[in-house]
Amino acid sequence: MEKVISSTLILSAALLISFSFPLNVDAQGGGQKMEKSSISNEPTYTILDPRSREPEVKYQGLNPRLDTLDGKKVMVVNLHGGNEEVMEALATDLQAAVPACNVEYYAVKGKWSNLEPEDWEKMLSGDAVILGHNY
Amino acid sequence: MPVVLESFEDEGINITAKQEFMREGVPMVRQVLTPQDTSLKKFPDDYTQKFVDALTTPLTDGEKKSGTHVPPTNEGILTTGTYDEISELLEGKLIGHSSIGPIAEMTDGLPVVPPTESRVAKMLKGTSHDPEEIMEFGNGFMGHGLHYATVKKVATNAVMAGCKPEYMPVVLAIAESGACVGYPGDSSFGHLYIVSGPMAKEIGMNSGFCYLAPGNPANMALQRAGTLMGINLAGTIFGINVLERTGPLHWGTIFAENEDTPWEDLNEHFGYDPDENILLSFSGKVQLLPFQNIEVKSGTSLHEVMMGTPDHAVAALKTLTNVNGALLTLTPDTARYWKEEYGFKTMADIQEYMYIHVTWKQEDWAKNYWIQILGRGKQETPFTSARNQADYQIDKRSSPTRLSKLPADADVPKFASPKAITVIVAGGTGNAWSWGGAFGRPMAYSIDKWR
Repeated sequence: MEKVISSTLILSAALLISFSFPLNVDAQGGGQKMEKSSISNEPTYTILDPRSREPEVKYQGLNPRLDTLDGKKVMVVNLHGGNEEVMEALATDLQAAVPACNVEYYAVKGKWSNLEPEDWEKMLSGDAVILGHNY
Repeated sequence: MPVVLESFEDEGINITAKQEFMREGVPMVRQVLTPQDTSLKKFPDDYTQKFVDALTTPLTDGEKKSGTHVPPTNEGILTTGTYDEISELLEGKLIGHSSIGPIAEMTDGLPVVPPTESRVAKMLKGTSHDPEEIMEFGNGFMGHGLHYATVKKVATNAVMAGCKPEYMPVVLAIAESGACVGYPGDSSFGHLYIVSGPMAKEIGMNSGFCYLAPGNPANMALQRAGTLMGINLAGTIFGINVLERTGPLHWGTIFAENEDTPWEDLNEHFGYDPDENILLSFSGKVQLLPFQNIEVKSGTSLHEVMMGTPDHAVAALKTLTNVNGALLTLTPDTARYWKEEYGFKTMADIQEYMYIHVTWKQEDWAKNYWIQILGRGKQETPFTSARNQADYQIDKRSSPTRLSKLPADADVPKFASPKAITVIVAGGTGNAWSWGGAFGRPMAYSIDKWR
């Protein structure tokens, strides 16, 4: 019994000492906005947004689609950098699927996202264009 | 003309692509998502019709729409709450790539110091710059689209990282460098920073024992500031617009040059005054390895092995597959030993020695993809920047005209210039050295301009 009383006294004393000092010294002493959460009695912080902003962007809708690929020239363009041979295979498959369409496969001359003027000229020479490199 | 984009059926790549489409002003680009399998010889048969449909199916109202995208300004107060509540908000609930775990939205994944108005105001005392001064992120070599951030936003992130106000000029220099943004794809792109000048000591940066290890408040907080600014100011989202398959060993690691050097300091080496403070920023594939990790050359005694000779360094640097640049760090004692024993009077002497001796065969140069296909090694000033005092020209001895005339088995310099090898003195008392590779030459930024 004495042991229990002794332990209880020590615990009570520890709690009393604890409550006589701020539990969150940083929040108390840091000049922060000190509101108490109504539920937990914890201090609250009003924090600033750390994120930047992006510029406004004017965007446009897509170009109209073709009614049919028959009689049209479709450029299948390999942009490099990945599994390039599938683009050439796609051109073959597309030609077989739409025989009345003129499919031209073209691998750009520019490397690593840089396009040469002749690449642009070639890409714009069709009625439609498929860009890719399976990556 | 109707356009269709073929792309991997990959969650992260597609989110990145959509972000890019919006920035380019065409948010609704039609895509055909193809199997993520680079061993394919051709797409499965049913994919051909998907391409036909993408070119011929009439546009939806959404696809026809034009307008102005107005992103959130993210100004002012984010929230009010308990520490746990704000931590939960900053961490967010972002799920990046489906193959990885959740990604924190506004932190590095760990709890941060709450960026209250008063703490941010205190941080801003570390610089004389106007809190509303705007910095641009995203115009550098690597970026995730253009973002605008004020000096105050930099201070906000510095608070979160645990920085002290006196760190602010360094934090702002890191911000000017573009912070830690990683790379949209690839494997191990990261960032490494070195501070040269008296400020390093003034703010308590570690340049001695364990300079790459945790423990030093300045090094650790500055590293974290670079990471947080990469996330919050430069738009880095791991698992979405950073899809590095492994990630790097050095993500914003920062340390100070040791002033106890027998040579000129790095600031002087790059043409600054001895009392000027600069930040050297490396980005790209950066690695710094302890010499123990590779048996570059057997010694006949422990002393010889531990010292590390120039021959050890040559052998180590020869193993680099990245030919764009190299890093060589020597402790002050090893630097003195190299100076006394090998006669290196300046850093430039070591650069020249390494340039001459770190060689590969001409045929390796002649068939190197990065040099021959992409032409990087042929450029007169790789990744040039007129503002960068650490920039360099390709050395005449490495010129394509000269190298192309040499026989296939000739030993030719592996690097484009002696200046592609950055020599750094750092570390504690005793002999040690480490080495590594860098994607390119460092960029030098003034820290003093941000005081």
